[in-house]
Amino acid sequence: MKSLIAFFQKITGKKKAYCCNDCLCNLYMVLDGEASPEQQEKFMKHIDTCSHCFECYKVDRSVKELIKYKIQNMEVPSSLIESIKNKIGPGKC
Amino acid sequence: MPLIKPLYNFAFRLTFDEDDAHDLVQETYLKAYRFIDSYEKGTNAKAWLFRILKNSFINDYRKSSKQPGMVDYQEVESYYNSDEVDEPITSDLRVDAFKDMLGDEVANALNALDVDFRTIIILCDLEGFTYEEMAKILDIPIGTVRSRLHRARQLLKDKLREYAKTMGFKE
Repeated sequence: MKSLIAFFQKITGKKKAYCCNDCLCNLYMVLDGEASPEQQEKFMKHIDTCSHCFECYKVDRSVKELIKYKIQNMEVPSSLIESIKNKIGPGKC
Repeated sequence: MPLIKPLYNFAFRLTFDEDDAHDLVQETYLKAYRFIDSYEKGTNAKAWLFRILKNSFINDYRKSSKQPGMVDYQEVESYYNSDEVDEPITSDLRVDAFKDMLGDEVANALNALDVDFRTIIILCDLEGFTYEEMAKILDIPIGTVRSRLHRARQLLKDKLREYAKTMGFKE
């Protein structure tokens, strides 16, 4: 892919309007829902045709999902809730 | 009791100790109760409580040096602030290599990170806070949120890659 891009650049003499660096800068913004609609659209268009950025996107999206869905939450001990209630309860503070 | 589950889990992931997590959460609710007037109406109450908990943790636990290997932030941020966010994101970790990982293995990778990097991943990916909320919780500029998150994710991927290797996946 990279050599193809280099080849196109060579024969057209043009640099790509939206380079991979811009794309990867915005990757986390897109993943975290912080990108503007324009940034989001540009990013999605870019990864349609750039396999390197698409691969990065897939990996980072999977890592985010791993954290979100695989890590288990612990149950809160009932003693903690009782203890807080006792300390804040009527006439305690 | 509202929000106690995420708070307790945050406290446990900071301290790795059930008793310390218990004390930290209790203190957070007592402080919130005492200083309820300082809560800005209309802002995220969960973020406000997380900020109180984080500050209690820094004041009470980090000073007692229970946490080994603190990150030297001045040094880290001089490397990773602003411009350095542009450093390339590596993609040499294959999705196949870790999609079958178990929750415990993912938790181990997260827990192996220094506390500041662990915290930003917890706030962003587990709890879904916005960059602006994280900036408030951690008392750092949004640019630093981004650079810290960037660095934390690179380190997390390194840890996941190590786990993937031990599971026999080839890169």
